[in-house]
Amino acid sequence: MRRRFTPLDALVVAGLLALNWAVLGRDRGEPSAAEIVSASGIRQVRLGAGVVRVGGPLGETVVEVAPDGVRVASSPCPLQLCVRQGWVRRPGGVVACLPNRVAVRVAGREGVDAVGR
Amino acid sequence: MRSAGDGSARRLARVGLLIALAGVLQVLEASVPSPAPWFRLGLSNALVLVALERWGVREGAMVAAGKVLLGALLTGRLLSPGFFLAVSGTGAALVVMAAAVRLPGILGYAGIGALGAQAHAVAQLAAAAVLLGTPAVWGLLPVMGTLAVVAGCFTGAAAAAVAALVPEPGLTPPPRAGTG
Amino acid sequence: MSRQLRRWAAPLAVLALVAWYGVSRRPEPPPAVETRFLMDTLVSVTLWGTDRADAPGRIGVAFEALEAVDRAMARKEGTPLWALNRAGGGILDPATAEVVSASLAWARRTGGAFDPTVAPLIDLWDVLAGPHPPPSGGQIAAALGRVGWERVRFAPGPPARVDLGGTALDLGAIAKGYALDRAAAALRAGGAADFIVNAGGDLVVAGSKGGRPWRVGIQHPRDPERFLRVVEPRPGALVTSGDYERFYEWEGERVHHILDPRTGRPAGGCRSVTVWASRAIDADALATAVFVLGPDAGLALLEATAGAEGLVVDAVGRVRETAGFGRVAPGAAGR
Repeated sequence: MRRRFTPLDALVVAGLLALNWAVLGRDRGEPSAAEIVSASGIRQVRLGAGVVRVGGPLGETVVEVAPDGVRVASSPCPLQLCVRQGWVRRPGGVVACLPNRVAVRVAGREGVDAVGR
Repeated sequence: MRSAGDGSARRLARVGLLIALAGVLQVLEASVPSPAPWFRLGLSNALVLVALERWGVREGAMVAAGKVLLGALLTGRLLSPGFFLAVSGTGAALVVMAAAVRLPGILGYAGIGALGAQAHAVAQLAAAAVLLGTPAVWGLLPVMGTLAVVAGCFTGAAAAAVAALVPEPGLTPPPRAGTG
Repeated sequence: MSRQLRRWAAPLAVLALVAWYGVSRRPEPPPAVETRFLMDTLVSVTLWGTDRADAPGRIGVAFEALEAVDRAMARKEGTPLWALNRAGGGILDPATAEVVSASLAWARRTGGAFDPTVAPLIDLWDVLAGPHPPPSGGQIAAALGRVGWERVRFAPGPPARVDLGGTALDLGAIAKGYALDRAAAALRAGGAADFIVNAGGDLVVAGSKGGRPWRVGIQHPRDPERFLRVVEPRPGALVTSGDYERFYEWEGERVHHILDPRTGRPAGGCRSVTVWASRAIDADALATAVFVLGPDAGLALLEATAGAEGLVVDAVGRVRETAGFGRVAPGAAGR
């Protein structure tokens, strides 16, 4: 007759709990979504959503949300720093068009709490 | 021991009984408020474990398949995303519990139940990651896995209780069980 | 019976250990973060250990403080500073007086490398307008003729008065720091102890993240996807000035927004400067001054300034730092 609970069961349960907490549940730092901050508020976009057009005081900023990162494809700002920045893939990474007040952040667990720049 | 046609018909009847019981348990669990939308105690998995332990892999698989189909029909989720989650979860639990049952008899019901529940949770998350197209769901694993392991112990204990009512393979069934 | 006990003791002990580990190591709730466009930059406030429900209210006071400074001290039509520049001087409100006083003190201390009267140069170069030919030598000389912090007469009052002596003030290189200090004070007054206020990459770091230090990445000046370093700064301010923040390229030259008040041209000695100080107003002024002075004189200034430390990336990309920078901003372990 099989027993209800054996010493080995206790070990198995302990092992499974440890597996859940330590190994499988560890911080992967994978991006999960893009967060678009603009004059009209904050909006979550699924990664891989493709082209998103965002309005701002200067006009329309075109944001591209790929499965593994984001970039500003075009923006009506004079310096084009946001476009030059290219793809941002790091979770927590931000590409911002300050003149047009559009910022895109790669959401997900990030390695740092803030970026000094 | 499977030579007697009479015995296999009886076994089929018992498998059917377990499936019906699994269906009832699922409906009951679906109607009881749960701490999180994806969390169920999973008592119906206990019946899969009973079939695996008492009869074998074939019967276990039959109970598992029947339970998923019946559960989906009763709760109206057939071929919905939730259905695919259930299929992958139950399938993974079946495989892992079947392997655990075959191990030399040192594991108890609680341990096997916990292993099955863990496999269920991992497979469900994997299916959800594919369905939703995002690996972010894996973030749920620490919570979900922990709850699953605890629930799995209870499921195992329930399986032990049910198995006590089911005759050991090869033994002559008590007369009353045979007359139904 | 005792054999039974021995069989169970070890497995149960392991189970208890694992369970205890799990309970004690509960995944921490992520800090509450709110982001807004303010002061012509992206501002975010990160607050740790607050109930998510009342975080917005507690964070709101920080944004209000920043906005109040911007309303008073931005060089935009309609602000008191704008009116002051048009009038050539006048009475200052206490907050503006504090910033003007500090900026004149830093101008004196840095020999004019930091100068609050660079307004004519900023307007002449107008980097924010986008690529266009840089001004001529004659235009620069003319603008420099209207720059000079020594001509400003400041009387602390009360009420504080200033006579601009023909110059115009631009507090852009220091008011953000002051605003950060005000925002931090507002958060503290509201009972918050563990937070980061981040105004376009200039930070005030307070307390910790549940007993562990906050982690701050310092932006690599040439690769947007990389950090120069990840540090765990002591509570205080960490302000960075870089030639990559606002710039365009013209005939192979990088035209950026940090202008040398002595030459009238974008300062060429550094790519980026990061300064730690206990107050953001000081870190902000120092970051600009060190950038303008260049790596050698800049680091010397920092070494000579009590309570300030810094890290400089020079014009060829070499990283140099003050002797004490690693003490106030030690490198983070891992990752």
